[in-house]
Amino acid sequence: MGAYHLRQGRHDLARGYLESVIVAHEQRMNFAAVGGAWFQLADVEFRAGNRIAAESALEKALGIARDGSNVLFQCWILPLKARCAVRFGDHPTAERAVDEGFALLTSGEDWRGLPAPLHVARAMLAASQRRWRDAEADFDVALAIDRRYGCVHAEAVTLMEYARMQVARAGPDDGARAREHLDRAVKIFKGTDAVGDFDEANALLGRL
Amino acid sequence: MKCSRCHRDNPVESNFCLHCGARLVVTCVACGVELPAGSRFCNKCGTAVPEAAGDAHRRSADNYTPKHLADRILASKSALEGERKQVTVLFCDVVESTRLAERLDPEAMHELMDRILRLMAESVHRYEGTVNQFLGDGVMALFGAPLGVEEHAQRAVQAALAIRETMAGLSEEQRSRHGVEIRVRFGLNTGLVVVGRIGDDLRMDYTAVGDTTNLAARLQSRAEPGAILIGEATHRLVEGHVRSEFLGRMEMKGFQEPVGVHRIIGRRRRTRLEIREERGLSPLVGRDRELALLSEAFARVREGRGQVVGVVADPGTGKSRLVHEFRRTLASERATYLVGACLPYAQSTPYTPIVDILRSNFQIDDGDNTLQIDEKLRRGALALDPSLQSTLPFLRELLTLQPEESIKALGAAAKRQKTFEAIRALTVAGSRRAPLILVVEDLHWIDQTSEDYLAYVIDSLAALRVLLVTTQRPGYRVRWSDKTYYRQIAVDVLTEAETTILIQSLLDGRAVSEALVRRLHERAEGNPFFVEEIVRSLRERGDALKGTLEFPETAQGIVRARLDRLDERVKRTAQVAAVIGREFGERLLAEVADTPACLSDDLHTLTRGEFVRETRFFPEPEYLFKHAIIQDVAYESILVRRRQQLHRDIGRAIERLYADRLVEYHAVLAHHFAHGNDPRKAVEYLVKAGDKAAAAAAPEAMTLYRRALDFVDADDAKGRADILAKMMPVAYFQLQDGEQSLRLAEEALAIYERLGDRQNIVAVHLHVQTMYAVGYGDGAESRAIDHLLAIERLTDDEPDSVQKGQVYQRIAHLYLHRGVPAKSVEWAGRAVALYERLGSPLGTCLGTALTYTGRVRAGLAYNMRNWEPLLASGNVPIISILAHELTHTLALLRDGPSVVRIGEQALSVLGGGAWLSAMVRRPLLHAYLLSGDMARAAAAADAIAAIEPQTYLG
Repeated sequence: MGAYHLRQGRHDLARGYLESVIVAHEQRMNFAAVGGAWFQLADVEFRAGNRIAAESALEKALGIARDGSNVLFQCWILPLKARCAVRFGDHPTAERAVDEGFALLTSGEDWRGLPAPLHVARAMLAASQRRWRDAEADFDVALAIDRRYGCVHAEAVTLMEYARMQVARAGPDDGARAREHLDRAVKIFKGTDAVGDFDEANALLGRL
Repeated sequence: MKCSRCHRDNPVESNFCLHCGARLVVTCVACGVELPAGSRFCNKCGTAVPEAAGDAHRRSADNYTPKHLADRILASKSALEGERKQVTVLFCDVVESTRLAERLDPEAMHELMDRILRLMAESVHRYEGTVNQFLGDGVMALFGAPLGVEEHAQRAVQAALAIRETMAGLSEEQRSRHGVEIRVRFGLNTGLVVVGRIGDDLRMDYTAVGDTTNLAARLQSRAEPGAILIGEATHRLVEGHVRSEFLGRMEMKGFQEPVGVHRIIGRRRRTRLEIREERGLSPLVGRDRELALLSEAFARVREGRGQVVGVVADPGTGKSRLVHEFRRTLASERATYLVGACLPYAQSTPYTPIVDILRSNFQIDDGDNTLQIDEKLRRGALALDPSLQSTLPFLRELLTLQPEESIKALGAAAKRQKTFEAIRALTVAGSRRAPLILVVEDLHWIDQTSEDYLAYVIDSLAALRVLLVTTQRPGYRVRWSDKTYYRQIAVDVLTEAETTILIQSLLDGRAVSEALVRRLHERAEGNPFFVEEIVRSLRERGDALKGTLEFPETAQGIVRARLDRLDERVKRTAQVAAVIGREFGERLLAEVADTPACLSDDLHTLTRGEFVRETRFFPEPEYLFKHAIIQDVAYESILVRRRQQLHRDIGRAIERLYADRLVEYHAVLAHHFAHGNDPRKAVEYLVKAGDKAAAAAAPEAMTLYRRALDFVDADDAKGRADILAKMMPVAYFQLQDGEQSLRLAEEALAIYERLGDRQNIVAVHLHVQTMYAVGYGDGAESRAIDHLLAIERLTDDEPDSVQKGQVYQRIAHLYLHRGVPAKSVEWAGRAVALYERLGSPLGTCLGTALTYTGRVRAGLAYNMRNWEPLLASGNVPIISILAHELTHTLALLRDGPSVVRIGEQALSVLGGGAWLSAMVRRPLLHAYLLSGDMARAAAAADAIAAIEPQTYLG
């Protein structure tokens, strides 16, 4: 429900709901749900630009997932932790989070769509370090996974971050490719009621 | 210690006299403290002590009690055993009698006191009270015991007024003779007393229940000379019938709270209906037919054809109200309407209703003196017809009670005949001027002379413009029923629809639940007076919609008096039947009745008197108390000790008579043994009845088990725990009260642990963990895990069983919630292994736990292996659980299409059940968000939002 409110840009509603969930489940010592809510709350704070609140929530979620050896939860939390660190320029933390995440994805398992956010996070880290080829490779993998598992909104987010990288690289075709990515992202955001994402992608498009 | 009877010495602390056997220790009537012989006042509370044995002999009640009353009391077997009675207690004494004694020589004083007490007793007896004890200088009298009478409070107040008036006359006489004044004071209170054994001298033992007697004594001691003080309970019953003033709430010794005190000022001539009219009458409901019959009779009267109509109904059915409403229909008629009432305590006062009618006719008021009465009579009679001059001496004597010189020479019979003729002449004259309606209320209480007069006048009524309406209860035999111009109107009880209208009007149009109306109708059984009184009592308690529907004392008094008028043997049969219940079978009654040989006769009498009615003839005769109040009053009148014995006897009789189908009687047996104070049998049958109710998913099981707990021996810990263990599922499943269920279970668990009862410890642990797991208590799932681990430890050495596997699975499941899937894998693995050993592959959360911990392939495979077969089985609860596990893990793996496929597949099976489908809707919402299908996401979010307020999240 928190994710649903967040998707529609209703940050306060999402925050209020998640906080009430945390209280209720903490009382019952139902920590799996508490961890899930902390993760979602971290996403809300991250999008609202509240670094401290986002990092705090992420640490709580990660602590619960690690204590219980919950690999799936960690694979959701670590990419967000890495993206958060990249945005605020904390590259070492981002790197550790990405590495930790990929380390969990042991070979021989059927991880389905789970690795995509890790690839996006690693791509964003690479882009911020101007390792364009590495970034490009991870963005492409993420896009492929998202498309395979029908993760449409995630695909649009990946396209927006991909475009942001292309704008930063400013290569010969990058302007046109970034516009192409953003056009598609805007279309998806619009179709999925992703109000905040839509505004962000539109703003990027306007600057091209 | 000196005996006050034989005046010989006894050793200190003797209870009885060594020489004459008289009781030496006396008990204070107010506070119950035992006092040494010869005490005149209580050394604890100061109350005067009833006279000692010797004095009591000299001034015993039998010296003063009329023979007919004494015979009735002594004939009453209940009087020998004792009964519970609602009574009004009257204390009356002479103020400062010691100063009086100082001014008179001892012999004169003795004679005066003897006369005073005799006069007091006469007034008490006139109103059918009983002098219970002679105190030093006054009396204590009971109204309503040992013989029940209607309106005991009114009678007691009337007796007090009569004593005061008599003493005023005596005082006047003594002042002129000896220069001394006699002043008396009174204290009255109403309440429950247990009247105990009555001796041959009519001296009654009684036990005050609550503070009934004590307060009456206290009120007397607080009263100023000449004052009649009454308590709140008495005031409620006489309010409107007398003039009184509220003196406020007063501190009384022995009472924690201040007590409301009223002072009686004087009489007030008001009928019950007039008093009710002052409070506001409820609308007349369901009496159109009866009103039409009265109007029809009046139409004949207008044509000069005299009519007599008897309105017959049970008390409270609305006889007086009907007549009152009839009078209102005459508003536009030129007719004279006169009413006279017969009174329960005036059956030995000649012409009571006739005098009422005459006073009303000549507009004579209570305060009018002889001269005023004479003038009003003369003017009124002669205005009607100058020839009535000759009747005036007879009418004047009736109205002033002063002997008329002009008729003094007539013999009694001649005077009576002339008086009858005088009244009839007045009636004839009146009817010539305008149609005359004479109403005589409560004919069943009529005095003999008035009845004779009515019979006399009715003989010549046919050709007069006179309508005589009488009201009476069933059972009263009308002497003129053979007259062609007599007709009877039977007033029936109200229907449920009519009762509803009445209740709504009594509650000022407030919405009334159907359930309350039904309860009221069932309780009052269509008797409008009972409906009004019960609603009024509820309103006074500020609880119009809830509460027990008790019959107020006004209604109970009527029934109690009727029962007391029965032959003693029949009354006792009614009491025994009342212990059996509202309905009772003759066969069972015969087993426990005092006189089974006379049972048929007794039941016939009770049926004819409309106390009971026969409801079934086959296979055995069965009866029903005509009204619940009759059973209530008969039951309540039995001493608790005897009642308990009867309940036990009835229980044992049922066990004997119906041994082959006892299961049908568990609840009844439980009732009788519980009320019979046989705790062992009470528990046995209460539990059996509770088990039966629980098996039928009836919430009444809880009441039965709870009642069983009340009877479990304090030392029987196992018995208590066993009942608690039965109560815990009832509280949860039938009452939906998980908190209560948890409390019960925890109490049971503590007892079983103390007893080391392993089997029951495990069973209760299982229940407790469920309660915590579903969110009761503090809702901490860790507590649920603790209880499960406790079971696991207790059963570790036991052979494999499905129950054992379920415990492992519950632990695994709760560890998943706890966020520790690694531990979940361990416990779920144990469950899977155990089920495999048993060859019973039941589901576990192993697949989910494995997936969480990163063994995705194995986890999904475990869950998917069961999915299709389960879906085909149609087992909805299990499908919802597995669908939740699968969709949740696939959503976390960001495999939206698989979530949607399995989730929607599950929803199609789960249908509209909000709770089960909610388990799948959360992962589906997640999947719709991933895929960007916002329309479906919104629908799922709405469904989740609808169910969440009903969960602990809400």
